[in-house]
Amino acid sequence: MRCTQYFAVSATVLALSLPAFADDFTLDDVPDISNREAIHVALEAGGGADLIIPFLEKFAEKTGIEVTHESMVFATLYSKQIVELQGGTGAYDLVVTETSWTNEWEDYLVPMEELAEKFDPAGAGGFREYISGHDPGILRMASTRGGNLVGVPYYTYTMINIFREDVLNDAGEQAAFKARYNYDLAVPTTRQQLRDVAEFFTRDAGATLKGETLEEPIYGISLMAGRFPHVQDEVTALLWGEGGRWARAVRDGSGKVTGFAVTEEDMAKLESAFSFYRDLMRFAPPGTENAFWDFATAQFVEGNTMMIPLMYAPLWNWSTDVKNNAKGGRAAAAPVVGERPYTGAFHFAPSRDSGNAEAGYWLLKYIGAKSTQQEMAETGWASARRDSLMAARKEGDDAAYKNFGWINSTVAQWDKQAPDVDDYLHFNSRAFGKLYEQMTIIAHENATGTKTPAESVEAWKRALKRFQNRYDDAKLIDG
Amino acid sequence: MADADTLTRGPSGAGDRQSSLSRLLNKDSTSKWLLISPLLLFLAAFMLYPTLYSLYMSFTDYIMRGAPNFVGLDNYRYLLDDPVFWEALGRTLFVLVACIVIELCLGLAIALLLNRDFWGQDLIKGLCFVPLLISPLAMSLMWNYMLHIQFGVVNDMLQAIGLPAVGWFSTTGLAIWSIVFISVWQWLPFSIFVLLAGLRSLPRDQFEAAQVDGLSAWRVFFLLQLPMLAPLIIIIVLLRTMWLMRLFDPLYGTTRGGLNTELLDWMIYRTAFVDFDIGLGTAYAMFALYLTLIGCLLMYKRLMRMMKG
Repeated sequence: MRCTQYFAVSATVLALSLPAFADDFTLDDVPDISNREAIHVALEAGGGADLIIPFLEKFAEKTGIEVTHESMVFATLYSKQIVELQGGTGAYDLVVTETSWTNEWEDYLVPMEELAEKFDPAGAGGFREYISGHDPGILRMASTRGGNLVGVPYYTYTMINIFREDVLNDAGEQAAFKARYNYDLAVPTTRQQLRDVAEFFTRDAGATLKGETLEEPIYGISLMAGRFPHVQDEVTALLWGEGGRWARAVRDGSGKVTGFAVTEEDMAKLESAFSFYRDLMRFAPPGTENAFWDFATAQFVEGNTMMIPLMYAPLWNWSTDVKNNAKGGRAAAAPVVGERPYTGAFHFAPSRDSGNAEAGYWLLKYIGAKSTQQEMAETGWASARRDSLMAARKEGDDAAYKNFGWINSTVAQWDKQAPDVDDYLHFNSRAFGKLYEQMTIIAHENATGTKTPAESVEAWKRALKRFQNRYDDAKLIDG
Repeated sequence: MADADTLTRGPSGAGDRQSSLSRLLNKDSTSKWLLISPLLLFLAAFMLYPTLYSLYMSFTDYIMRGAPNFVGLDNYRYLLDDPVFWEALGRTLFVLVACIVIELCLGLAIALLLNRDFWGQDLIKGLCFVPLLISPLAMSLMWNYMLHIQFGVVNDMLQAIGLPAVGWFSTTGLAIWSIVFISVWQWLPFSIFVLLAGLRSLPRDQFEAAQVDGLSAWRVFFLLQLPMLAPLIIIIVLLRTMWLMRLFDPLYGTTRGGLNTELLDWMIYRTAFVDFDIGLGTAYAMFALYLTLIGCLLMYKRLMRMMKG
């Protein structure tokens, strides 16, 4: 059996069997840290990401180690950090790593077990037990393709489908939908159903919704088609949902990645995903061509769209505010069509050039612990730790709905997704930080009609060949 | 005896040295070089060296990993065959021409209006300066929201008078004009005030003679004012060409190069600081530099000829 499969299987077994035994780790468990040097931490700026700052302060207060932080918007997070890492400046003791950058940054990060052996009385075994409450798929994403875990996930942005439950459950709308499409209105599980729902709820001013006349036009769906790092995640979800790949990792008998393959079947599925996305654009509001998550969610919250079929889980919390703007409005979450959306997580990773790896290790362990993640989730944080999420109260008061309504769909998709992670280009290529930008440009140009779906596929093949062969020792295998 | 000799010759030798140093300093050809040498050293360290280093980098395959390898003209060959580069260059030249033409026409018209005494003129002139004082990045974000198709105040106003909302940044073809608009909005005051200063310094006697001869206002403008302002117009074109070739901020807060708005500087940034293909990124940058230099040198020569004339 391939070593990566061993890893996935053993991690799954661990995840299923150990949570009951895994002791929680709290701030009180942090021992005295001998290295007193201050540590500097990179953060993603804005929104929910700021919720982590009080926890950094608590750690500093308990340990006496000064923790400074630097917030960067996502668009500059990659480039700013990689310059410091490649330059060996030691500017950041802990970097924020997106799961698809893990392989590329491998040389600049220290494997967690190496740090545990060095600083933790519980050693690597204790660390494995501590980490067992995390989702195995997410852990695999935070690991290199060689199986080294190089960080602890703390924040997920798995895509989910956020929709207007009140509209889909309306008897009048259900009857009208059935009359038009000859099947029951429900949360879409296939592309065709998604298209039908999007089309059905795209209405001009003067039409009705739930029996009431519309003063403004409404649209079936919100999309994020601007040239921001989201449009390619939407296309990815459509592609993966059909079993397609941007490229496939090829492994030798020992499980080592030896290259990446592009098959005709995958490219046909990619073209189909591009075509479908273009088709969906007709049912999205004006302005979608330059939209990112902010605009897409705002459209839903304002009651202008009925569904965000591919949206990051942290936007759930804001989406529930639709009740304030639309009469009887209520948001609900479901898995996306195909149930294999872009599944990512930020993880803190210890920089190899850190001046205080010891404090970095303990801060990391504290932030990624079950109770910390649970406490953060109570403030609206999209925790990436599975046992914290499973323990969250998902029903009851309004706060439970607002903070945890996204969890069931997310975890269900993690389970579906986990076996595929070893295969995805995203989590196995060392060129992916660069390929991500190329995907964005190509998917945006497809969405706005600058390129046809067929031209977009050709552009992708050219970009993949150039970047994969240039930035990774595992090259593209022609054929 | 020897001591006495030294004592007697010493002061006189120092005096000789002093006088030769003072002669050297007083010599025009030497002193001017001495005086500008700090500036030359500064330029060599912070401009010449980085430029030459970039030139060297453009002949390498450096990707911020390992050592740079010399690849000869490979990056330039790739650039010449790269349609994305030529499209970005074409858009940059389009934005450059559009901005300069609009700024000059509008700038001249407003400068002519301001070139007369009226009540509240100081306040009006002060307000005209405001766009120049705002950070370009902040301004691009501000216009992104003001021109937003659904939440923007501009579309609210259009709809209030019965016009449809316009997708300023979400319509291919229109988005590039929105970028032009942002740049013009910020830099129009520069043209206004340079031309206004020019208008205020024109000699009065020729205009009085024209008035005596009964020349119409249009003929006065085309035959006297415009030719006299020509050197200033060339200075505006020269400076704006340099600035517009590296236009970046309006994209950062708005389309980020989407909807066919990617300009040359954005492409250079993306190649060098997102892809970290330093070799190719510097080749793009050097190519842009050569183009800017050629254009500006031609304009500078023309300006010098005019000044001499």
